[in-house]
Amino acid sequence: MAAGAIAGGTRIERAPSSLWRDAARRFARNKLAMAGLVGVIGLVGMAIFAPQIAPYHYAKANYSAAWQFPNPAFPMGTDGMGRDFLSRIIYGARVSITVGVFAQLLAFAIGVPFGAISGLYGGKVDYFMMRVVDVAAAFPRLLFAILIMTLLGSGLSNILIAIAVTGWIEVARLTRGQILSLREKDFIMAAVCLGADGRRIVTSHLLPNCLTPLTVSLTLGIPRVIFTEAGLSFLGLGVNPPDPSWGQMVGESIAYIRFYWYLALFPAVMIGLTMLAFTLMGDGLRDALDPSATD
Amino acid sequence: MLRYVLIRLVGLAGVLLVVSIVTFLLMHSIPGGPFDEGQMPLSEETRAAIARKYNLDKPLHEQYLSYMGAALRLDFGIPFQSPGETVTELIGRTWLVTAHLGMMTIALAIIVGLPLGIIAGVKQNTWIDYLATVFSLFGFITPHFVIAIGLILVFSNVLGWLPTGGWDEPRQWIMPTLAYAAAPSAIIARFTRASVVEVINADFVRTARAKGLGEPAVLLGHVLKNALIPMLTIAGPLVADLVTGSFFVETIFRVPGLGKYFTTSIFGRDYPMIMACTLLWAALIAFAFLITDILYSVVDPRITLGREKT
Repeated sequence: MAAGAIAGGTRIERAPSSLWRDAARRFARNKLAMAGLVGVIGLVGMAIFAPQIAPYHYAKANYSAAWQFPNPAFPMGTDGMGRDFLSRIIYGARVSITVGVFAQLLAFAIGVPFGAISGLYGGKVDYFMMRVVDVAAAFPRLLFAILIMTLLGSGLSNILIAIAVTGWIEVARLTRGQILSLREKDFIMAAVCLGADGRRIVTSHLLPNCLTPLTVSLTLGIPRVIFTEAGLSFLGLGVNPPDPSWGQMVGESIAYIRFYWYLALFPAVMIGLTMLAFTLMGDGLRDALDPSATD
Repeated sequence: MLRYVLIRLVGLAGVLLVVSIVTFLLMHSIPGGPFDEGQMPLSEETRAAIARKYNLDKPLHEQYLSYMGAALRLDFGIPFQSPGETVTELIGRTWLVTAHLGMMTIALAIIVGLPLGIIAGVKQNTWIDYLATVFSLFGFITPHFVIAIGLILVFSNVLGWLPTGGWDEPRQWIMPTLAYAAAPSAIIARFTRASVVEVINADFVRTARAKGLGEPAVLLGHVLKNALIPMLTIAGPLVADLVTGSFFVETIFRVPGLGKYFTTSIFGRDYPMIMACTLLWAALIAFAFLITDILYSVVDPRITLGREKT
């Protein structure tokens, strides 16, 4: 749209500020959100620098030191194969973070175009695509994910697929809803009147305006994905051993909880903390990006 | 209304049909079968006889048609993992346990979540509100298996009050219900608070106060009545979710419910059981949504059914 389209008259001066800059300021003032951000950065750092931080290799068995209670040499104890549990916890962050982020991105890569096309074309296309969504939503999610994991076999990339296969549904619904409500807005009408073609309206008006709700939904969906991964791994359908995953560690330790309770406690707490950090960050992001917020 | 319900039921049948086809194809494309060498060491002839008995020697589409034909007459076959009974009997037996756990969970979640949300909404931005928010945040985020482990550590390991699992006496019901109810009570509390806050500032509440109604009458007769309508949206799916069972809670506390068979049926390639579980779940969820929508229009006369919303 040409800049000259702005109707003439007086200009009201105000320090230039964008939505994202306003949001960043609001986010920085929100203590809980900042705590979440710090937690997320810490977890990502832990995942990236796992080889540097971990005192031992995560798969190195040492049978003479099996089933050790937490002690100075092994701060979180050792498991039945004498593997240092702290090192396994640190490496476990890699699986959770990778799955959390990439499964969400994959779900969005499917769901956003799907919902956008459905919302844009409307009519029969929309009707047909929404029935596809209805059917996809009718599957029991976890059962479906388990089926797909059994079909594809364990492994990190297969977890991503199994989670994204059902994860895209809500994304498609959200995107469609956004597009539908935006289509009726006056500024779209204005763009059409000014002669903007369909592609321009989609790329520079509709999609940028969907960006904030999608960002929030992306972030808030990460804890749920991490939970699903933990659940699949808990059932023994996650990454390939000896790669460590927190969910798998909980699942394996549950049988010994009477005696080696710390083996179940530490990974469980890590899953909880990770979900907490991402949720706090996502909640903060939602509040910060709320366009009706004024300050 | 009747027309609307009929249309929805027809749609539901279509959805179930597609779900059954996709599930059938998916489970048969998983490598390995229920009577493979690794699962059951049998002779060639026995295996062939079993395959014939369960129709496994027929082409896939014939297997599908005969299964669905029987399923329409509510005969879901015989579970491979427990051949002494029918799938219907197995689900009926285990589902009773799961539904029992689910009902106790819902009751607890409402008893805890509803008052918590109301108090937090009425006493907005006080320490009670913050405390309730923190509680519901933790209940919402903490996965139930984490809560389950925490409960076992405290009540079984340290205090020794409760057994770590089982389902023979009421004492063993406590921990699974607590672990399972944390998330739904948090969700109920969050939703209730949000809608109470919204309603309490509405004009008709101010009118009620202005005409001199006492605070209890305002809260019960005006605020709550309206604040509970949005709760219906989450109630349907929540109930369906809980009565279909949780894999984790049942696994951790060794509850003999349906959740366990959900998973073992896939590991054991128990085709009839996989189909029955998937269809049951899909139908339950669909019915839950349908009932929610109908209740919605009953409770709130402003909502008319059958109009496609855009």
